[in-house]
Order: sequence, then C-alpha cells, then structure tokens
Amino acid sequence: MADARRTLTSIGVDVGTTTTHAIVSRLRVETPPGGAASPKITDREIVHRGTVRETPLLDSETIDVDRVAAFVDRELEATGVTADEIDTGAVIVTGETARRANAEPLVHRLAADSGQFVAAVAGASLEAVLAGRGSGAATRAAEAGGLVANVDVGGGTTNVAIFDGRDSARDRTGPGSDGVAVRETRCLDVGGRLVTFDDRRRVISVSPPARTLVEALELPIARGESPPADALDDLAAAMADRIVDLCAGPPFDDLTRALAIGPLPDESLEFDGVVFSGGVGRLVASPPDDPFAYGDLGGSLAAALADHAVVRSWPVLEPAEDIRATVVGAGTETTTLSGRTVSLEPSTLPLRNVPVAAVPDVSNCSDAALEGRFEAGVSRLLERHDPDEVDAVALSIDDVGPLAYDRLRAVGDALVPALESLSPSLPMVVVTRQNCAKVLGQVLRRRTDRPLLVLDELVVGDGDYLDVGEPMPGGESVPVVVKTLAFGE
Amino acid sequence: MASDSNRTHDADSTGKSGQVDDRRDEALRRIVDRTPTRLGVGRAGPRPTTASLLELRADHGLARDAVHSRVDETLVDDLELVKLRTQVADTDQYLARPDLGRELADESLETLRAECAHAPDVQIIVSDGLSSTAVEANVPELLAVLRDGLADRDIDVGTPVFVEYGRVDVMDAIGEELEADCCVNLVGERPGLRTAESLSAYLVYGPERGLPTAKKSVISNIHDGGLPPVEAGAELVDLVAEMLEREASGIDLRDDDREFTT
Amino acid sequence: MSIQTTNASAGDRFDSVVEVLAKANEPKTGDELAGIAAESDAERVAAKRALAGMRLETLRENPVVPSEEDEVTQVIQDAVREPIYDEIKDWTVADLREYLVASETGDHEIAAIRPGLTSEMIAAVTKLMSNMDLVLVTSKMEITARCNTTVGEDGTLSFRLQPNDPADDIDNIIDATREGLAYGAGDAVIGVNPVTDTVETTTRILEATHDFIEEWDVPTQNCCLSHVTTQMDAIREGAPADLVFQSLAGTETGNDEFGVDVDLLDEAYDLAQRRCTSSGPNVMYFETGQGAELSGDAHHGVDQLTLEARCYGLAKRYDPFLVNTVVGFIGPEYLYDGQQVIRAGLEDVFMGQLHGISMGIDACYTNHIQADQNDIENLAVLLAAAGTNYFITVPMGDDVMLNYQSNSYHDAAALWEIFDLEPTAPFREWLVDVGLWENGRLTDRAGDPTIFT
Repeated sequence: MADARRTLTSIGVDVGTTTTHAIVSRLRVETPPGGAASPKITDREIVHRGTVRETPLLDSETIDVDRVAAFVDRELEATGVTADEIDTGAVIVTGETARRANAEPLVHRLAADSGQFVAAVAGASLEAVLAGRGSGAATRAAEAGGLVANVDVGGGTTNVAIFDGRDSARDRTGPGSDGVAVRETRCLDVGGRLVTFDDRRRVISVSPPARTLVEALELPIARGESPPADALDDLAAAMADRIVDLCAGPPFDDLTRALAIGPLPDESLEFDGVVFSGGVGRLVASPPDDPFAYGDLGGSLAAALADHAVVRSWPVLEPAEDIRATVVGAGTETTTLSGRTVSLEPSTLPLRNVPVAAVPDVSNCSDAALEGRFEAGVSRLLERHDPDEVDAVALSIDDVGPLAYDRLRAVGDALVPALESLSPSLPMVVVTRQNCAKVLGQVLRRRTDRPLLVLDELVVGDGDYLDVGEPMPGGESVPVVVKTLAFGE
Repeated sequence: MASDSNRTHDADSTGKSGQVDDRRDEALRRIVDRTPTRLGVGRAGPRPTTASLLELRADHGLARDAVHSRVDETLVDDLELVKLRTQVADTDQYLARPDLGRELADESLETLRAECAHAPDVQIIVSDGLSSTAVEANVPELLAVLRDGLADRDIDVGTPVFVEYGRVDVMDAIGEELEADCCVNLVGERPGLRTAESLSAYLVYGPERGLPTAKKSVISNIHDGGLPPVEAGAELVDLVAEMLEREASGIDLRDDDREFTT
Repeated sequence: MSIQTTNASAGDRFDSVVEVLAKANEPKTGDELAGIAAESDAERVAAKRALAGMRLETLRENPVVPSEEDEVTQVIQDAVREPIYDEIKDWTVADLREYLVASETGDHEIAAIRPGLTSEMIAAVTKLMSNMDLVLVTSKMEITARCNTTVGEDGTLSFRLQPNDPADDIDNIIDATREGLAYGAGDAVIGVNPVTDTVETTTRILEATHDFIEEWDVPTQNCCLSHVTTQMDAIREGAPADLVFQSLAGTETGNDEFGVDVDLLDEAYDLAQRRCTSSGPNVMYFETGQGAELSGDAHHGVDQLTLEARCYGLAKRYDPFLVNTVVGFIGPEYLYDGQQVIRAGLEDVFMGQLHGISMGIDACYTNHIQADQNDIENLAVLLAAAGTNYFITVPMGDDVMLNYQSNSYHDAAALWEIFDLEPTAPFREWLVDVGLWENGRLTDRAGDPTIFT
C-alpha cells in the first residue's frame, strides 16, 4: 500500500523589533490513501525551542547581521543539527526590523546559510498569519467552527489575523493545504517598544508612530525626560484603544487609520474567540507589577489592554504559543507541498524568490480572450521586476476552467505566445489550483522549448513570491513556500 | 465548541432552548459537511428516515446500472477502437467467471490477429470491467491525452482495442498474441455508492498469460473527483515511457525506491 | 477410497471425502469456479446422502488437507479430546444432525460433544442442514466471551461499530463513532479498518478510539484492523489496543497469503495477553469468509464451506473474543446472490458457535453482486433469531472506505425491538446514563452524534 512518508527538518527564524528567536521542528509528510491524493504535511513537532534574545542593532537603523547569524548558528549547534540537515523553513523579519536599511540582505543571507531550502520572508500581513498559525488561533477557529482573531502585539507592530474555521470557508484554502482559511489581516504601527526608557525611567527614544499619538494627545513625553506616570498611562491607553479599534472597526478612528499598515477592511466582524500573542500580547493575561520591567512601554500597554472594557467583553482564548508564535508559524507553517503529478525541469531547482502574477478569472474566459489575459499577467511581472534580477517568473492560474483536453490545449495555445516578451532562457513557473499540472506541462512542452515548471494544487496570489524546492524522494511533489517579500511598509 | 459544550449527562443540556438547538445544528452540520460518510441521517423510530432510505437505494441503483449496462457502441466507434469480446456470454457469467473474462472469444482472437498491428511498443486496451459508466465518463479525455503524449515521444501505440466483458488480465492474452512490448488496460472499477465513474489503468511490461499481479502497475481512482482523466492520461505517458526505458513494470519498476515507502 | 451412497442410484460413486464434501455443498459460485461443485442437483443430493451415511471417524481420519502438509489440520486434530471423540466416532453425520436438532438437546448437550468434533465434522453436518435447522441449533448455543465486557449472554445482541474513513481521517472516524454510539451501536467493539497499513496510522486510530472511550466512559473495547504484525509493532511501542485482530484462512497456504502462520499467531496471542489494555481474558478478534482460500489459490481442491469451518478450528486455539465472517464481501464469483449469501451467513455463524467460539457476522454485499439491503436485512433477522453474538454496523449501511454495504446503525435498535433483546448490561446502563436508553428503548435524543461533542 502506498504510504510515501518522511520527515522534513524545518527551521524558523524571527528577527523582530525587540527579540530574535529560532526554532527547529520536524514536519511529517504523508501521502493520504486513495491513489490520486498528493502528499501533505500531517504533523508538526517542535524539537528545539531556542532562547529568546534581544535583536542586536549596530545603530537605530541597522541590524547587526553578524551577531544575528551567530545566534542562529548557536541555536543549530544546541539542536545538534547542521545547516545541511535542515530541509526547509523560513526566516522572517518582523515589526520595525523589517524597515531597517539592511533587513532585506539580512533575511536572504540567513535563509541561504540556514539550510537547503529555507525561504526569506517579510511582510506584515504574512507575519500576522504566521503568528496566528503559530499561536494556535487557527486551530481554535477550526475547533470552534467560527471566526477567531489572533492579535499579535509585539515591540513595533500589532498584527491581527482573522481565521475562519467555518466549513463554508474551506474552499478558500488550497486543495493541497490543510490550513484554516484566513479571512483577513489588519496591521498597525503599535507596539511596546515604541517608547524606550533607561534604568532611571528617562525616555531614550520615541518612535514616529508613538510620536503621532503623543502629539495628538498633547502628552508631556519627550526624549531625555522622565514623564509623569499618568502621561505614560494615557499613551498606553491610547495605544490599547487603537488596537481595540483595529479589531472592532469599521468604523475606524482617524488615528487608527494614520497608524494602519496596509488597507483596512470595510466590514466589522464578531469573533468567536480572540487570542493574544507576541511579546506584549502574552502579558495581557497577567501584566507585570512593574510597568518598566522591560525598559519600554510593553508592560503598560499590556495592562491597558487587560483593563480595557471592550477587551474584557471578548472571548479571550489561551494561546498555545505566545512570544514565539511568529517563529513557530515561520518554522512549521510556511512549507507546503505541490500536487503529486507535476511537470518539472529538475535542473532549475531549487528556485528562490520567484515573483508571481496571478491571472484572474481564467475559468470563465473564452478561448479567444485567453492570450490577452496571459499577456497582461506577463506585463505586470515585467513592470514590477527586472527579469535579469530573478531566477524565474511565475503565473498563477487558479482555475483553468473545465478540465478538458480541448480547454487545456487552448490554454497552451494562448500561453506560449504570451511569453514571447520574456527571455527564452528564463524559467517559467505555471501554478494552478486544479490537479492538471502534468497534462498542462505536456501541452506546453509541445509548443515551447523554454525551461518550464508546472505545479498544481497550490493557491498563490498576485504579488506573492514562490520558493520551489527539489522533489520529495520517491515522487514528484515539490516543497513550496508561498510568501511575501515586503520590506519597509 | 468541543471545549465548552455541555456533557449530555447534564440534564440541563437536554432542554429545548434555542441556543442549545442552534449549537447542536451547527455542530451537526460541521460533522455532516466534513465527512464522506452518511452521518447525521436521522431516524424514524429505529429505522432510517424515508429520505435517507431512498437516497441509499438511489445511489445503489446507479452503481447497479453501471455494472449492468453496456458501453455505448457509438463511443467505441468514435474512439476508433477495434471491438473485441472475451469468452464471457453475459453479465451474469462475467460476474461469476473471472477466468473467462481474461481470454478472448475465438472470433475476437481472429479479429485481433487480422486487424491489429503486430508488435507495437504499447497496446492500448479499453475494458468495460465492472463499470461501463466509468469508461464512458473518462476514456474519451484520457485516451486523447495518452495518444498525443505517446506520439510526442515516438512511442508506437499500434491499434487500440475495446474489450467487452474484459477483466484486468485480458491484457496478458492480448499482449501475448500481438507480442506487444507493453500493455495499458483502462478498466471500469467496481462502482461504489459515492461514484460509479472510477476508472483504473493497469500496465504490464512483457505481457504473457499468467503473469502475477505483482508484475503489474496501476493508476487508480481516475474520475473527476479523484485523479482527473486528462491528468491521468499525462501520468500514463510518463509511466509507459519509463516502463519501456527500464523494461519493467510492477514491483520490478518500483521496488528500488521502496525504502522510501518503508 | 470409494464411497457408495446408502440409497445409491446408478453411478453415484465418489472418489474421496473431499469430493463428497464439495458436491454435498449447497450451490456456491466459488465451488463452481474451482470446478469441484456437483454438476446437477441430483448429484448434489447423492453426495448429501453419501455424507449422511458417513461416520464421524471417517471424517477425522481423512482431513481435507493432510496433516503433514498443513498446520491448520494439525491444530484441529490436536485440539480433539480423545475420550469424547471415542464416544461419538461411530455416529454418522445424519446421527449428528438429528442429535443437534433434537428437542432434548440444549446448550449443555451440545457442549458435551463439542470437544470431540473436528472442523470437517462440523462442515459435514452443516451440509445436511436446512436453513431453519441452522437457525434452530444456533439458537440453542450460548457462547460468551469477555474482553472489557461480556458478549453472547442470553437476551443480549451486540454490535460492532465500524467507523471507517477513506482517508483514515481521525476526526471523521470519531464523528462516525459518535453517530454509532448515539444509535446504541458499539458494545461489541469499536473497530476501524485503516486504509494505510502502517504503525503510525494504527497507533493514531488506537489512541483516538481509546481516548474517546476513556473520555466518555464507554463500556466497550477498541481495535484497529491492520495486519497483525503492524498491530504488534504498534502495541510494543505503547499503542492502546484492547484486542488484536487478524484475518484467517482455513489452510496453511491460505494463511501464508495473509502473511501469518501459527507461530506468528501464537506470538500475537502471547503479546495480546501481556500488553492489551483490556481486562480480558479473551483478547483476539478474527475475520473470515467463504472463498478467501480460492481467491488466494490456496484451496487444495476443497470446497469453501469446509475451509471456512477450518478457520474456526484455527481461531478456537486463541479463545477469541470475536470472530465474524464477512459474508458478502468477496464478490459474486464466490457467493453469487442474496440466496447464496444468506445461506453462507447462516452456515458460518452456526459452524462458529458449534466450534464454541463467540461468533458474529458482517452481513454485507458489494455493488456487483446480485443482492441489496433487503437481503442482508433478511439475514440479520434470521441470525438475530438464531442468536448470533453480534453484527457489524456502519453509518446508514454504507461503508465508504471498503466500498460495500452492511447493516446500518439503525438495525441495532430495530433488531432489539423485534426480538426483545438488549445490548450488554454495562453498555445498556451506560446508554441510560448518557440519556440514550429508557425502558428498553432508545430515547428521543438517540441518533444525534452531537451528544458526544
């Protein structure tokens, strides 16, 4: 009986505003019975939970890359695993760290050094999702069959991911994914580290988002001074208000809008559960007696959230992971597997940071209009990226329409000419949700000699990036990381 | 829900309050939606509800019809398949005598020799097996992909045939007679109540009568809700090419990577 | 050997005991496929007559597969208690039938001769019995067995809950368990057939069913029906199994096809005695079915009923808690239609009980056999009347994993109601506690799986 199964060793590294951590986990890969089914990750076990360390900075704008790299090396050493033995995983820069000048080279270097197929990842929205998967909020949503919000309050940002565990939402996750659907994410420049103090409680720094609030509320808080306690409480309360507003809105307060990262939703939601995670979020359950315990506003912010009347009315659920939620998400939830039958060009693998253009609404597009759609997708790729700077480019065709040979031939006829503006040596990745990669590959190879990969049973959005690893032993299914690379949002 | 719902020992939870009913409905809906099994069907006294009873009979009826109906003749003509028949006389005998479904009737043997190309790289066979519905639903798409894909690789498919009342191992007899390098037999699977449309593809390298099952390869669960027929066609192209290259099928083909399957 | 019937018509001569047994069998497509069936009804009756006049000693001394070739024969022969055998060896098979059906013969009288019987004798008498004979004699026998709870007691009828899932999905398996328990099914065992025969899957299923049973205090036992070696590995690694399962055949070569032999089964039995999570003493579960040996080309020219009897002879060595025939699963080339399936079901349960094992049945059919739900409901009514220990039940009669149909969860309550029977006492009390059973009937809440969420 076919029971292709093995374990992937996965690393997760989170370089955050305040802290940096790494974990090592083992992901169990199993092929479900039934012949047609593709392998899936069925179990995730954390085998090493690294130490939480302060993120080393060279100056306020620059991360100390060498020391972060040394942290990761030390964690691997502690696990007894070498980078060669790490099969997959993700390195993510989060919060304010993602805006540092050298954030981008940092993650790429760490990803390249940490294992065979480790993805570099950045972006507040993805960060929110990974935190919620890591904290167990996604699982809670599935258990409850309802909406559960994960509110990850860190040093620099607050990232909210709302998971939809209702069965009606299941279709929105990919067929290859066993994950719980993400309804939306909401992100905000509010965190505990926005104001820092020295050991005499004098203000060392006030980050721009905090300054926005200080100015709006006309609070007597300035660098080098010891502000009155009630001013700090007012600031913490204002921050807590913004977080509550972010979760409860719309409508949204103007200050919330000013501090939001990315778009805000236009529909308000009732939650069946709320989970707090992150370095500040974990303190909400029991705020520290000394608000200055961490040398920043984190303790006060946690206390303000805990006391907030609206928060007290929420069905707050306990997290499975708190401060490590994001790193656990990065280490255990970023890698997925493609369908079992795909069409590969093995010599091109692994591919990293492949930009994706999604071609919308192909399913109900007439054969004649297909070429225009594909050309538009290719133009978008060329607008956003210099083809000489990338390993490959990808088009995501969620649904090709009916899985009939005639239709697939029409897709092939339209797609190949649409690629003519790309260099013939640039590898092309075509991704579908439906199980049709091998036949589409066969159709396309009849029409073009360019290096080509067709992967299926994956859901990939416009603007996402893909990392594609080498095939799993004994099959064709490839590990894939679908991600964002958004620095300095 | 699982964490905080009332245990049923608790008399309060048997109450008819709307909230409890809503939660029960939601919990029941979740159970019913996520399973392929017939759960939450309800009852009338100790018997199933009439609707559930009739639904089961309807599904069984479809499955029975798939076993007992014949493949549409015009489909066989459209696909340009040479029509053959095994030694089986009718469906009843087909079910009771698997041995007769593995050998061609005398006149079909003559047709095979007269009309089919000798010694093809791969002999393609379509057999009705236990589901004519599966053949009708999947073979047209699958066969088109398979023929084109094999042609791309200059693999000679000879003269594809259709076998009425065919079993899996009829490919041994046909392949032996034609001295084909390998055979692909597309066979309608025994219908289940979920689908009567499932097709399997069996493959053998160096076909001869009496070859054990272990020497054969299979791709199963081919239907719209499983492995789509177009994708199965493309997978078969790769598998046939691999069989011809390595001159093997079944465990001879896959045994070397068994370490992976433990 | 040449065997002449006592009332011979011209030409009714048989060359061997094997031939008489085969030709005396009620019609089965499997015997026809094997080329050993009677060629006419006249020949069938002639063979029955020859068999009726045959002495039990002849059957003992002519086992259908020679002892030196077959360890199943050795197991059966070694189990015979010689003084009891000596008392009955001069009986003809007709004598045995008439002893069994006699009004004076009850459970006690049957128990008195049981240790002298071999599987061939039991097969032989079965061939002379009509369907009602089989129901009558089965109803006399009370064979109990105890794992965590006791099945087979007078006035009880038990059910295996079979919550299979085509993807071995644990949530779905537990949901199907919830539904079955809500109908009162599951007192015999919660037994899951996995799709994937691995230690991991087996362990996962055992843990999930065990945890569920613990959480809800269900007085029953769990089992995962993977290959015995897979279960043994899982149990050695600590998986919680109340029972150890294996499919059996009636010949050594047939068991070889199943990947087992007597040594391995002995080892499994020993492990089960030491490592099963149940209180015992009966900790084995076997499944059988007419035709399995022929489909594995391991039948030695012997008819499928006789080989089925020998499965029970082998099973008896391990004092099983449950044994059931999976009677309509194998396909129409072995049991052609509802009539043959019903006959085989009655034969198998009778033969199992006469061997003294706790016998139940999976009354089932596939979609390519000439049978439907009505046929297996008929069989269920007949066997409930006969006093089988248990039936298999699946959601709404449809097992979407094994792709066949069996009795529905609903059939449990219907059979209890028709025959005024009940589940095992502790299970019945538990049903009362969870509000599903009252005054010998299911309550209004029954049938709702969300009771167990």
